[in-house]
Amino acid sequence: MEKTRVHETSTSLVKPTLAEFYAGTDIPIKVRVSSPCGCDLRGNTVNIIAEGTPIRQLELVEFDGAANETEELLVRAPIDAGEYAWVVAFPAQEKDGVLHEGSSVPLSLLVKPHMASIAVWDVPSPLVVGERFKARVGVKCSAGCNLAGKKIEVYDHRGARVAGAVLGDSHWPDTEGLFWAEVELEAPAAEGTYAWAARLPPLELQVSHGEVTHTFRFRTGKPAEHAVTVQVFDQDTGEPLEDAQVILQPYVRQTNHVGVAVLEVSRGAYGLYVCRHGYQIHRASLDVHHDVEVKVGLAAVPHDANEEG
Amino acid sequence: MGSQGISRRDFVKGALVTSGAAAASTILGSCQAAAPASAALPSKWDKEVDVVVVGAAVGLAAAIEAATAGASVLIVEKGDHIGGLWIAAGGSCTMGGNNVVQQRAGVKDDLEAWYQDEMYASEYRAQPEIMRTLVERGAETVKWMEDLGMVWDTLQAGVLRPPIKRGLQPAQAPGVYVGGTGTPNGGICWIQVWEKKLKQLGVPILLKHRMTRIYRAENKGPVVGIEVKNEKGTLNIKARKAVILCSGTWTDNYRMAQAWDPRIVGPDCYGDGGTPTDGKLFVDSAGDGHLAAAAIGAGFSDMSFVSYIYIFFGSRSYWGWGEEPLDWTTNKNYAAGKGLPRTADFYQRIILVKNDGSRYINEAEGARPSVPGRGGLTENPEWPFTATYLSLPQPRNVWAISDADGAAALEWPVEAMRKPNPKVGQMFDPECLAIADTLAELANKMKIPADALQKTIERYNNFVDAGKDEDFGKPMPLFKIAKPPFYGAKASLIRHTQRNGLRVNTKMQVLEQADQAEGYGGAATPTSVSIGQEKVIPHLYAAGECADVLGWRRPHNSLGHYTTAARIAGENAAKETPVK
Repeated sequence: MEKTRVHETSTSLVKPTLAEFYAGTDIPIKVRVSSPCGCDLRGNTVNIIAEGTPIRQLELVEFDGAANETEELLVRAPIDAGEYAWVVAFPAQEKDGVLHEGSSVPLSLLVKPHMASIAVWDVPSPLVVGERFKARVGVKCSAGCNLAGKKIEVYDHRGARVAGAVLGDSHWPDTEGLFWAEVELEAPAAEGTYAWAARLPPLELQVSHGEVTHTFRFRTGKPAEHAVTVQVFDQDTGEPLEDAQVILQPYVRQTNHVGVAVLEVSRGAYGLYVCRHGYQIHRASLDVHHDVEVKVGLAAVPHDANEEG
Repeated sequence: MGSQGISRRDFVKGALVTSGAAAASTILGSCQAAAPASAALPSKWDKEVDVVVVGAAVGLAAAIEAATAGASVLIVEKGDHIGGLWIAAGGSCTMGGNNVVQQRAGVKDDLEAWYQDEMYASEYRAQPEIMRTLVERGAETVKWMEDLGMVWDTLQAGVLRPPIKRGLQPAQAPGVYVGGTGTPNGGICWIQVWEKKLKQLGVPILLKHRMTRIYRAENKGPVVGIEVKNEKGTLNIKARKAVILCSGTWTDNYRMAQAWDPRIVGPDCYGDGGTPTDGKLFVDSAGDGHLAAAAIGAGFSDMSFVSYIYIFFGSRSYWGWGEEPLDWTTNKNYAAGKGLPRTADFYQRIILVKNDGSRYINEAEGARPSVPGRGGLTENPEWPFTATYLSLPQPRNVWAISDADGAAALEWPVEAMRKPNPKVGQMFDPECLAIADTLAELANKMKIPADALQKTIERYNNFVDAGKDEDFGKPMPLFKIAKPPFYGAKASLIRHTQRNGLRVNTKMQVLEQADQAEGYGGAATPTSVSIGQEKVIPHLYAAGECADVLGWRRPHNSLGHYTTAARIAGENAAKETPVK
């Protein structure tokens, strides 16, 4: 009777190349098994073992003349964050009269929790006391979960809930996965600066998302009394400058296509600042006691020969 | 194959083909020189010429002068192309002295006014005798370049204090050289002008030959040659008259940087010679000349004043030459590097946070107006913006942060930032950019505590509403950081060009360090501090950034002075009495 030959084997991971994954997300796993004799082991299998229990089996499907590889399999990461010590094992298997000994490789995973975070923007400031206004609230899950339809809330400086909204289906432009909603709010009745908070309640998803809040600040003031019209132009050419930012601290407006911005402000003394990329910042003081028109010529930033080398 | 096993591919194409002061057979003929007297010298020389020039950037100018004066000249260059860091320079220079360009423009200048403006620019740290020499020969250099083919563009203000205009810039000159005004850069113009002249003179350039040693005869005798290494081994080259070091600066050599200023090495600190993303050095400013000269007794000066420290945002490369394969005969793929433009409104709109998520400075310091005639904004390590950065504990992990509104107002090239390519354009580097939907996510990408960053920005936004930066006094206008996406551009410290190096005299002879002991008279009152009285290392010259010819901190636009220094070195080297 012919004696069964025995070959050692070696198991290694082609994937994953990373060790960190978000809870409940897919982990790509691809395994390589080889023997010193370069045996074709296609049809044999490897096991993925978690906490001592095989959870998935992969078949060796590729052989390049030296080593065998499985197809790539997606395995769901645990839903609880933490460190996990999995094992990928090639059990002893016989093929064509050759017994291939078992071998294994550890698969260490750091499973991270899903962290939601919030952004709040387009909050007008200053607001007129008591006026209604709109702001935008966006929420992002670090693991990229779909948050469409989830509720967000806004709380005022006293901790009272003042608004709620449902996140829409689309991402905010130029973001990777920021689900957002517009909320309508009412400014406090008194002048001052305020810190309010947007809140995402705990989410009932497969993977837990803890509550998260984000503070945003704004200022309230008296109703506007006068219009300040600022005309901005290129100091050298006289051409009007569109999209210049005109700041009558704390009021802010952009110039239109003819280089004009109109700011409705209350009576008082202001710092006037006009900015546009490629031009030097214009700084001045302005006392507003009635409607006023101001012309501002911006000087182009001079070429800096010191950067030339 | 050339003689001595040197491939012809290692020579600049066209060299050796014309008759000149040095015939090829003389230079590369079998050099069976007698065994030198010193045991420290090689027993056999592989090559022998009158003058060896180390470095093929401003060294080309030195070689032209030496060859024109009748010396046989050989240039060795460690890189695979000529031009060194010079080829990447903008190309402008500031030169006065009633030069031909000033004359044509009707600008009146004189040597004394120029000299005084130079000394003012250097904060009077320039060596007066050297600076006077450079000024006296400066106008001649401008004409010399013009005679070689340089076409100077319209006279500009330059970088010295007003009112006298002294700014020169190569104009485009198709058929003569590439580059010039309106092209990516102008440093290449100088190199191509010199290369053309050297071909006429028949001066060979050995590429990929790195000088590793300078040979000096015993008993403080003259320099007699150098050792170079190439891909095949080691060569010993005898220099009958002189060795001229034009080997550039040392700023890629982080060990040297560590020696002079430990603050400029470590995380986020880089030299200016390449692309840190793949470790490639186009130039490798390793301080070869400094170290080899020091080994035979040369001294340094100003080394602790490590000038030209830049802080870039979003990139960690000063310059590049595009994607592989690199073509050094054209500048059309020149990459300007330097990341986001560091304009005044940039500093006004961003905030800077360090590793713990807190601000550390009034960001507008980055745009503090410079003193006219004393250099640019952020390049001086002693100025508050840079000094504050340098005073932070490492890892500094400093980031400039803005939001969607800021990026739009500053006209940031967002698409290029989303797909950063550290080889082209502004050389945005994936390691130096973070874009995120929320501030918490941005903090994670920047490896900064998210809670701390959010508190910092919440506080800053409160300052915006209040109209006052209570932490650092940043002047108005301030801008909120609130609208997604959010942008982070990492700060990288770049060690750029230097004004320090080997000590030389007005002939560009390298000075003997030991003379500072031997020449010191022990009297309370110095009898003389003239560098003309200091002992030199015979037959050793240095010019360009390798030598301290300008003193702390002459502004940029120094190519003209470097050229003058190299010309002086070449002239004087050719006059030396040959060693046996």
